[in-house]
Amino acid sequence: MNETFIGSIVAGLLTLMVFSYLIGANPLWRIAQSLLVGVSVGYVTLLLLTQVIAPQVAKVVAPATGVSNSQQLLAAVPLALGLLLLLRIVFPGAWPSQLGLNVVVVVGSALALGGALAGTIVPQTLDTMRPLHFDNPYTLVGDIVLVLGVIAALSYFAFGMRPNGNRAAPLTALSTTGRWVLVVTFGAILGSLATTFYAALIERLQFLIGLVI
Amino acid sequence: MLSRITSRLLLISNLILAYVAGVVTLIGFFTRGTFADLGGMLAQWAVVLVAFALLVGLSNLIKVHIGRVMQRGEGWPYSLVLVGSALIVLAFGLIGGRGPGDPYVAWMFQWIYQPLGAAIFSLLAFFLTTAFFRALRMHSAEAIVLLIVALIVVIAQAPFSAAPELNIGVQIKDWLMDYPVLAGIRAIILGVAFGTIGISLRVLSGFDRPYME
Amino acid sequence: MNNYFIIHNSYFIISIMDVTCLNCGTTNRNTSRFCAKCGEELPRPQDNTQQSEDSLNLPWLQGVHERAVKQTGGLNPNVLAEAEARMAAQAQAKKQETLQTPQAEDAAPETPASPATPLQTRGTGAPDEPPPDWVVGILEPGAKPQASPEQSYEPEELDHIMPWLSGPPEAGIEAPQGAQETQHTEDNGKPGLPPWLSGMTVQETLQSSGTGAERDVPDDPANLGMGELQPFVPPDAPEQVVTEPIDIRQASKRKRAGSTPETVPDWLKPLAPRIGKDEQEVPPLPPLPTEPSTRFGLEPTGSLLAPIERNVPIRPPRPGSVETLAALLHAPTGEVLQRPVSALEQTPSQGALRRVGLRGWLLPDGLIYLVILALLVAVLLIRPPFGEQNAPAAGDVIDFYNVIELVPADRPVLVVYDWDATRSAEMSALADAVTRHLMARHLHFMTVSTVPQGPGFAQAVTDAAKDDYGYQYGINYLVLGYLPGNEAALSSLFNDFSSALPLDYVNGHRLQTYSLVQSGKLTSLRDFALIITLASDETTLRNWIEQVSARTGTQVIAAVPQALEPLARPYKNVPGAGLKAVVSGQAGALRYIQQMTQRGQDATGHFKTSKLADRLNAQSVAQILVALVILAAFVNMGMRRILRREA
Repeated sequence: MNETFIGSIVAGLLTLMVFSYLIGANPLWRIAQSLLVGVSVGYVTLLLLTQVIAPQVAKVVAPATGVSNSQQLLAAVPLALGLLLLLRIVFPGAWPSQLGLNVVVVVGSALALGGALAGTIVPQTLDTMRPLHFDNPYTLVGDIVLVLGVIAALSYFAFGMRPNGNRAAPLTALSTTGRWVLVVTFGAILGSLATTFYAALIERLQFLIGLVI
Repeated sequence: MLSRITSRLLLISNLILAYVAGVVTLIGFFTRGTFADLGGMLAQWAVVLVAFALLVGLSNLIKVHIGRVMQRGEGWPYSLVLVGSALIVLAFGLIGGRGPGDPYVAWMFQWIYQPLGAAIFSLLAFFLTTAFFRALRMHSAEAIVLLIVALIVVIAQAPFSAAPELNIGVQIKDWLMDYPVLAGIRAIILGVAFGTIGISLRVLSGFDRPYME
Repeated sequence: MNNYFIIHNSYFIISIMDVTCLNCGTTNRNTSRFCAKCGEELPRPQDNTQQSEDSLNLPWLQGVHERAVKQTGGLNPNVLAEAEARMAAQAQAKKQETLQTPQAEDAAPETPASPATPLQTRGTGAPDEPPPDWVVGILEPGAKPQASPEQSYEPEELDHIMPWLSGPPEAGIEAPQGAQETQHTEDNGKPGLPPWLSGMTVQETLQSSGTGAERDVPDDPANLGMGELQPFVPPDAPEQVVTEPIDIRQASKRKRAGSTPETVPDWLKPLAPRIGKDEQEVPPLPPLPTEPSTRFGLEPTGSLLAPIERNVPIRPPRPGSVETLAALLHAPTGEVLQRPVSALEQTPSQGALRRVGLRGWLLPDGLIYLVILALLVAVLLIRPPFGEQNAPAAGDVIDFYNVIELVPADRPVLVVYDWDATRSAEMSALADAVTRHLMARHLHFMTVSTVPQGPGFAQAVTDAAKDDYGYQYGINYLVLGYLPGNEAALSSLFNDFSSALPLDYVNGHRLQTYSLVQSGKLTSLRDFALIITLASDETTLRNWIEQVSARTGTQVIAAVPQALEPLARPYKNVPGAGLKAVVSGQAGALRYIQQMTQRGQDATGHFKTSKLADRLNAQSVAQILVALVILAAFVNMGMRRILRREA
């Protein structure tokens, strides 16, 4: 019995425990669920400790050759803020942790802002405004549908809503069109999801059959 | 009085930190040189701080489950499984000295975590299918259109649709995916980008201070 | 006009504003223009505090504002002592006044006597608009709400909707359980406020609503903390008195957990798993065992477990009310089984529930489950000869293949493992194909992840393929590991990834110890010729496009699950930051492997094409089944419409 064989048996049993949920919630399902969360928690904690925090501590405590004092000090700043953040374990509302969270939120927001501008809005808008090719009805109709669909679906969101919740009549018509565009979109996403879900199910069933045969 | 001064000072220091870190990161995003280097350093700080924040969350989860085990609360055996499995993964990773690359951790990842995650995900195939069956109980036009589009996509994405006789179905699906569905998804993406920019501007300008909650 | 504070137990302050009639001395409400006793016009209150023109000019609102502002004054011991002394003087004055003018009290019993010295004068503004009744209840605890012509609630209905307004219940009629739990707070002489607000000032309420840190968060995620809320039930259904047992054991537990008893009202019962009429007549369950050791979480309460009958006036809650939500959050069958049952209640037996449960499970969900399982297992077992798979829906495979083919041999590639176990069926196949293609081309590569499970899969996939191509870890490839923080993680990798991720994942050694990095050619993301993103969700894919492709201009291609393909499509071949090619799903993986095989690059290692072909055969059958289910839904809808029309 090698470790792969034992692993296969364990994996098969765990898969069956999960499938038992189809009959209804039961202790086997709950054990499997707890095991998944537990292993995941342990694994992520291990990753954080060994891949992020320990190397950062090493930068301060035992820096590599050629690292200046200022670099060492700068490496200590996030550690200090992080330790303050750990206060939240014992004191959930501890104010010193705000500084560390501030850096996380603000840096994340600034990067998201730049990314949304340069990586999404500009290229996506440019690609929507395509030149029309009148010789090819397939793409001609499609490109018109694309432009109108994007505008209509965008108008379906809350943009242009008056304070009383109403919209101007043209916007209402446009947003109704947008609603149908989104319905078609979600239909396509659902169809694609079915493919992915069944791929996962078939893989599991193939694994189980492979264990038996 | 003292607490008011303290909270005022905390607010001011948080706002200054937010302005400085936000502006530096944002300029660094679009430029190269000093600001980009400073932005990279702030991003590294943020990574370390996110790791600490995740540790706070994970330890809180473990704390809750340990409390449930100690008090013999409802479902405490499941909490015991959760805590036990987390500690086992953590112990193997730390004692082995190789962190998450440890062979035992890799074994648990391959034969416990992966099958459990895949099996739970594969259950969605069953639930999605029954949801399709129930979708028309609402008798709404949207549900009908949604199901028709899903039907087209499901059939056209099936491997058997590669047969030349079914090519028309694939073409309809491709046109849907290339234009109306693309329009809907692009509108969603743009909407998310606009929302991101709005939220980021509020955070960077200090109107929203989620880190102070 | 007079204002004064009533301070009780040093944490609750109520002030009352009233107007004394100059003719008969009767105390009237401050909003009254004529005396309730003699009809004499009441003096207009003086406006000493000038309001700004922009502010709302409502006297009752001003009263609330004053109360909110003055609550903090109660925290000052000096103010408290002063106010207590003043209250004692007021009580004395009231006693004397009552002796002198008993008829005045009879005329206006709802208003207390006027205080001797007003604490503060108040602006009146436009007094035409009366305060809402709930505000009157707070401002003047003794006052009955004014019935306006358009008022839709009778006083007794109002008592039911907001029982805290009417003070303690009459003897012989016990309060609803939720109110009973907070009875002690009402008994402390604080009528006018709901029990969940008692002991709290308005300012405290406003402040605490914004800060979640200091709140006592229940452990149970399903517990929404609605236990202390009073239900808001409009009188749109006749009130009925039902006999409900009180479970002291549960009540004590709830008190600790901060939740309220959940009952499933009759109108909600149809939503529960179907229980036939015949099963309703099954004899009730015997009382649950009282031994503490028989069930988890039971307390040794002994005889206290015996149910106590009480009369509780209830109405069916309207959809969307707190009770509805609370009832829906808990499984009705579970509630039936867990609740102590009195002899008067008729509930189905456990056996009946089990029988109904089986039938309810089977139709239609269980049947669909069984058909799915049977069909897929049969196809995978029998392996019917469906012919050679020509995978559709992956027309981008050639582009994807060509992009990798065009990478210069001396430039490394970055492979991003941003997927987790849930998508491993499709992503393992895709990752294996991509890895083998890179190895077949003898390209050096590194892997990195912003999803925690990514490095584990990177290690597994590369370990499985490396021996077939003679690849060595550290020389030809490296597994960098995981970085949290999404955008921040990518930005930190941008300039110097060895600083952001100094240790590798597999051995935990410094990156500089590996020859792949020692050359010094690899420091930032710009040094890679190509980035291959194996992403399982849209957010991570978008992050790579926004944070890396937009900034570096490095080519990015993506291999994604089929479900993500529609979401990745908008990024494909756009001007600027985007994806050069996308390949998706198991069908894409198979086609990709076939492409490599056609070009003489053996890639039939771990994921043999026959294995993938078997899966795709089963996938075909599954998708036919899904299509049939959708068609069945349409037929079902048509049948229902026909039947309804005939009926």
